[in-house]
Amino acid sequence: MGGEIVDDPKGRRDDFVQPYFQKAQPDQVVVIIKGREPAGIMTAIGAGEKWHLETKYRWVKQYNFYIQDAEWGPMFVRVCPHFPFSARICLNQHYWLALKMKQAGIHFIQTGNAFRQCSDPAALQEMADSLTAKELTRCGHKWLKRLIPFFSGSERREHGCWHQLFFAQVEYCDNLIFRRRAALDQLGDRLLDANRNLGRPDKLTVIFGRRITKQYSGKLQTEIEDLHLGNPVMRSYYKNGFAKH
Amino acid sequence: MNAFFEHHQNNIKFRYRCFDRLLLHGCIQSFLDGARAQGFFWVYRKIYPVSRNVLREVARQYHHWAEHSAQKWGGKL
Repeated sequence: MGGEIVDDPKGRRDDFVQPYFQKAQPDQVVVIIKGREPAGIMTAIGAGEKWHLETKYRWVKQYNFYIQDAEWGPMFVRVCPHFPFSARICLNQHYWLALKMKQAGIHFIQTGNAFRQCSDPAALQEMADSLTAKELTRCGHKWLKRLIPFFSGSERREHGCWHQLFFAQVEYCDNLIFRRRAALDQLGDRLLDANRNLGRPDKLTVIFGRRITKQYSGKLQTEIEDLHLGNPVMRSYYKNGFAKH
Repeated sequence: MNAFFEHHQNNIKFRYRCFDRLLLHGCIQSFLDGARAQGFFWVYRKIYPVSRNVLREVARQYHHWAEHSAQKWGGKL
């Protein structure tokens, strides 16, 4: 099952790739999803002997390498096959913590994106706080070097052909593990009730800084999405923007 | 969140905070400038001018490498 290329599946990619990780070895590419996605690519404009290069955004086939990293566990790296090979790296600290706790002999039970049991919560928090940018860049550069063989070692060193990494999205969570599910269900219902009014026009006026009058003609609706997932979200639309809560 | 935690403390087994999803964007900054990208092709690959066909060939080589590597990667990299 190692590293086959598959077309973009219908539905959630996370669900699709899950079986591929079951017997994964450390530092193994378990599957590659090839799909059309937007990326900044270098384009050549001109004719004959006169050409110049410009970066343009295009929908192109890209490779999503799903990897079992030795330190970070399941992750993926998306590589654009067009010069200058822009990339995306997706990591999750929960998997990083799981591997660390295993090494330290801490007993835990992980369910998706949460540890619902842990024999030493204080040590877990200490490990979580010990994460630095160095761990992120080490992992990122390790895989970018392997998955983009176009540049030689000397080109990377001398001409600066190495990828700089920027945060595109960061999620930080405060996890409260309840003793009984019933207490949490009640609380969830109350929170949903308390926050439902966030989608009302008077609140949207505050969020988007524009009054909603009779003349308003754009999109205006609040939807509850991803109800089948663990964390449903409410999305309130206003013209071309939206607030997620 | 602290007031919330204190209010529900009796029902909470434990608490921890950490990062969840971390999405990093990677790019080679010097190549955001077309002239510098052309300079790279000339200095390191002796290619001038960098035409559409040159860039197409670079992408074609990557597709070839990915397909070849996928067959090879049964095990560790």
